[in-house]
Amino acid sequence: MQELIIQSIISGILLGGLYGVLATGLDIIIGVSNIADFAQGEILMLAMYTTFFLNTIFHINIFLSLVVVPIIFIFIGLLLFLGIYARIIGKLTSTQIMYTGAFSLVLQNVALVAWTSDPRQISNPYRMEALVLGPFFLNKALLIDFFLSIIITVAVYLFLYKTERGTLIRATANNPELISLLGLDPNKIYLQAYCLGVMLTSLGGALLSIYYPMSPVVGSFYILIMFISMAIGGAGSIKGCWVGGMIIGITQVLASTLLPINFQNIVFLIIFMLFVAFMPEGIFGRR
Amino acid sequence: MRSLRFISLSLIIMVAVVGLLLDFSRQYYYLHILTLCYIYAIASSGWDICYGYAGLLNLGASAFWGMGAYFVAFQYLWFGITPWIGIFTAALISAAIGTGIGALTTKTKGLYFALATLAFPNVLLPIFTWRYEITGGSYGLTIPWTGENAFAMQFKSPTYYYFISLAFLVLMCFVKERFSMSKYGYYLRAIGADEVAASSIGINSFRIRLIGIAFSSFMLGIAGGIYFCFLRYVDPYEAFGWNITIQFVLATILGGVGTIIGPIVGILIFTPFSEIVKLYLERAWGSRFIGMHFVIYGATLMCIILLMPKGVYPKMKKYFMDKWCLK
Repeated sequence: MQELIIQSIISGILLGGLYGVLATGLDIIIGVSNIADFAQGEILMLAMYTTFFLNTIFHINIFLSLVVVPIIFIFIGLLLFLGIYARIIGKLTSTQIMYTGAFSLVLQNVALVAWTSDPRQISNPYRMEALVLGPFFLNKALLIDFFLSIIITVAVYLFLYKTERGTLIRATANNPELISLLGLDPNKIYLQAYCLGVMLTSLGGALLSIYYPMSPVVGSFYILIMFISMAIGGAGSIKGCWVGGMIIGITQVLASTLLPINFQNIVFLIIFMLFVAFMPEGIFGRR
Repeated sequence: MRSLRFISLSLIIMVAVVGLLLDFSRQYYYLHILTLCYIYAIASSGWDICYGYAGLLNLGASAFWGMGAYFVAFQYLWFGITPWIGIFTAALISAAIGTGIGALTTKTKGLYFALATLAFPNVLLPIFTWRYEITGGSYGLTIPWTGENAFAMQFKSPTYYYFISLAFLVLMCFVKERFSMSKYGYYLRAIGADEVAASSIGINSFRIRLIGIAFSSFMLGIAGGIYFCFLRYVDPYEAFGWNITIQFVLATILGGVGTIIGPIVGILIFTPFSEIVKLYLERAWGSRFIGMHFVIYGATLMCIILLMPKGVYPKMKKYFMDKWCLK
């Protein structure tokens, strides 16, 4: 029993890293561009399908597609921002939520018509293999995902904290008016931050598709996880996103081993509601 | 004010006559659609209290609607309580749970309120699919048909349900009108406009918010209860699903937020339109395109938010006012 619990915690940590990357992307979009974007789940879904089709049609290796997919999605993010999102910047949060939620409905159902609801899976050797550590098993695909997500997060951290552009992005999150005083256009920085967020989400999608099957409705599930990891950890910090992701990953895997199968997702939702009640700023959030 | 009362009374009579005419000509399909419209209109008006008045985006409307339906079923199946009373008690239970959710989310608004309410039906869904013996599992609950039976609200002709739901709609609109004209309605709107300013002049925002959320979930529960009596069937995906919430949101935004008539107008436009779209798409392209009506919903909602954020009703009102009153 104890071994089972430790095994679940290990798997949860590996899963939590992925959720951390996803939450970081969403956090940048919400924190800097000020868009409460419910369509990120569908972006994730599209990224998973892109990886799948790159793999099956063009025979691009899954690791190479980790480079190709973000480049494609930076352009998609650019188009989306200019076409769809530029109109709702600065509006009320609830208006934004309804607008982006409606957009995600459109994307999801177009995908449903285009690709049907059958789940698909990229076939690769890592999914079925495991690294054996004493009594514990570490799935190789999840392990690869975990390390890649650490690398991605470190890269994002270095970008945000060590480069000039990153500093500007963080400054915009703090105070957009001061950016216009510097003679810069805040809208451009919103655009850059949005593209960065979309890129991170698509990377997360590419990583997820190594292990998980995809279907057009996965977006509406992952969007909850993205938002809740961000909210539990505290908006506005990468560390918070990772901690939130870990908490969700661990509770999800633990709940699926210890509780009836229906209750897999209920535990982290309840934890989230408790956080909303007693600690709405999250663990590392500032108020 | 008197002319308004006259207009609404004549509207009600007109709608009742339409129902009778449809009954005489045996157009039961249209009666069915209109009944659904009225039930959804009650729910949309309830949702509007949260969003249009207090500015709280409640994305968990389906939870309260579903609980209204389920608790009517439980009361009837376990204790033999007639739905005529059961609808109100179920709505009270749903209002009590709504108050609990409101108390939990009292520190938040905007994004986190929306997320917490979005999480709530997702918590209920596994609970209600868990035990087959209690909640009927994923199959849901049905009330057995016991013949024409006014006690169990079972009638052969849909005309009865038409008038029941119409009566409930009129009653709830009257209550909502009273509520919005009372001091609580003004307090709620003040909180929605600016919570800090409202509390600075002595409005207890916590209490008023709870009252608003409770009333909103009460109306959603009533609508869910009538829906269950109408179809005599409820299943968890129908009750707590995301599709239900989307309908209310879309109809309210389409009709006009923060008004009595707006959500009703929205539903009366939206439900027949969506039935036509579903029917036409299925006939034209087959079942593969079954999700396409959601694409149309989504695109419509996006267009409304961008082009007509106040909804159809204020425009309609202005048009008719100009035409009839200010010659």
